[in-house]
Amino acid sequence: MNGHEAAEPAAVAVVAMTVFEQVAEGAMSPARALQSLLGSPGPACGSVPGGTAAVSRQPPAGPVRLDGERREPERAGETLEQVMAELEGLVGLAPVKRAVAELRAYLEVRRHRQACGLACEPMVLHMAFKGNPGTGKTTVARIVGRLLQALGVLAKGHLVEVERADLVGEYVGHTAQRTREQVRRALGGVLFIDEAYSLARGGEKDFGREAVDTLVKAMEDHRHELVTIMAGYRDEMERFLRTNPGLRSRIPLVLDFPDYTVAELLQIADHMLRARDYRLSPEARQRLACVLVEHRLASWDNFGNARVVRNVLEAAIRRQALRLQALPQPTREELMLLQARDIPDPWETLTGLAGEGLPQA
Amino acid sequence: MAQAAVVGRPGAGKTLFVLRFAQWCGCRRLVVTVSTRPGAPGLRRELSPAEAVAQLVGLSPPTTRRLQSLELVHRSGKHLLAVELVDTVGLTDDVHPEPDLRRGMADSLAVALASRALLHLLDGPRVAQQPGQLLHPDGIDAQLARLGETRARYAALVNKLDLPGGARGLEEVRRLWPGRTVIGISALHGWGFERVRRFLLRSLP
Repeated sequence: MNGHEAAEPAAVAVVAMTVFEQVAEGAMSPARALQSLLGSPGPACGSVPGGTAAVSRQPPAGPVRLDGERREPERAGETLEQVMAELEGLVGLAPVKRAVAELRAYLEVRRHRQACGLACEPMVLHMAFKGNPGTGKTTVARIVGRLLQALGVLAKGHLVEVERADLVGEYVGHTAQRTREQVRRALGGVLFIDEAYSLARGGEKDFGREAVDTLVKAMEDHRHELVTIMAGYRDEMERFLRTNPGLRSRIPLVLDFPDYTVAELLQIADHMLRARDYRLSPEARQRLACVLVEHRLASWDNFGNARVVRNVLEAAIRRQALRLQALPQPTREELMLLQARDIPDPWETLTGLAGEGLPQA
Repeated sequence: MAQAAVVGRPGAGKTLFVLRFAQWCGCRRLVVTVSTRPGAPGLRRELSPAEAVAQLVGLSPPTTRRLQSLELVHRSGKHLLAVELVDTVGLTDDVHPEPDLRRGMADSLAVALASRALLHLLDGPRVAQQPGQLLHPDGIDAQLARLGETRARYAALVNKLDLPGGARGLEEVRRLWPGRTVIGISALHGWGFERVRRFLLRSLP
């Protein structure tokens, strides 16, 4: 083995696990996950014999569709009803579902009005999503993209998810170039800017302001072929939009993502466990509810919602595995059932003691 | 037992390769363990090679939805090869719409990161049609090659040499990824397996 592996610190494993969880959640593609773990491509990956590294960064010519757009190819030909059914299938999120249903109705009526030759206001669909982590903002953004594609508003409906580091450059002029590049990738779909408020941090001299200015221009210039969704914590987003009036005036739709109730979090837990062939005993379910309440109390207004559920369940699954190791031949039922004693105390997952480490194969 | 992860896009031929390779190494009965998570106790199934191919290999990918592993012990002269081959879920460039498959992909990435050796299956005819995918930084193949370069013993196995375009795909991989271990194989016919065995013998303790 090479030295790199021998020296691999546990911290890398923890980071890797977090990144891979984003793949499971659908927030990141497998390719992007590796990219973020390994850093930007070095010459070994991108070099073409006799060419330059820059060549490899261009989308390949011909039929290859690998221009970095996290499209969902299996969605081709998807109907509006399928997209809406998926939205309806999400746990909770009543106000968001209502807002999306209104948007759908508005766009359909607008189309009919156009067909009848009636006046139609110019359509601007940039949005802001406000809410705590784990409240489904990325999931809904992806659905919105597909909905707009099914309605014929966007050509492709794909989601390009970026954050401050993807937009802000390191020297004068670099930021505008990076931001325009991300906008170009998102044309025909949705540009999802996670933790958008972080673009405003750093004061007057920070390049984040340049990114915001470039975005404002792109949102105006490409308003018919691009939907920008800015997402982040409620308070920070409100402050961000308030301090950038140019931006706020171009975002007609602001959706609030409420925290999930404990009953909804339990439903989410059931979904997650079903997907992995586990289930909760009645006592475990009761204990999970108590643990989630304690988590909410402990985290004040930054409650991690579905992510907390996932962390607690991951820890419970590991504890169950440890418990089953003592049995000579666990039954299928035992392998599936999580018991109350498998659910970790809140302090364990809050401090990360039960939620870290790469699973050892 | 040292672990080697078999990774690649859906439909590259990972499962068929694992099963045929085990058969080629002389396994009469294959004990396949299907895991819901890396490290979690899995369900063990004992199958004949023919049964395994019939049950686990599909014509319309993605067929493998969970991690499947197979322990392989092969003695040839004084050389003993003992390896746990982990057949992973096909990895995509994009976010997959199915949560189950996304979970499988996340687990597969974790296994790829933790394994001693990485066998990266490539679909030769597909590479011949779209060689640009090997270099694009947002493509899964380029990223898997980088992972192998930094963290494990790595070999690119260019599969489907028996199909039209397979040999051209192999040439493309060798041209675009100079300096890497590239082995042409046909999982269906067992071509190139001797080189794979030698690579594993060299790579594993």
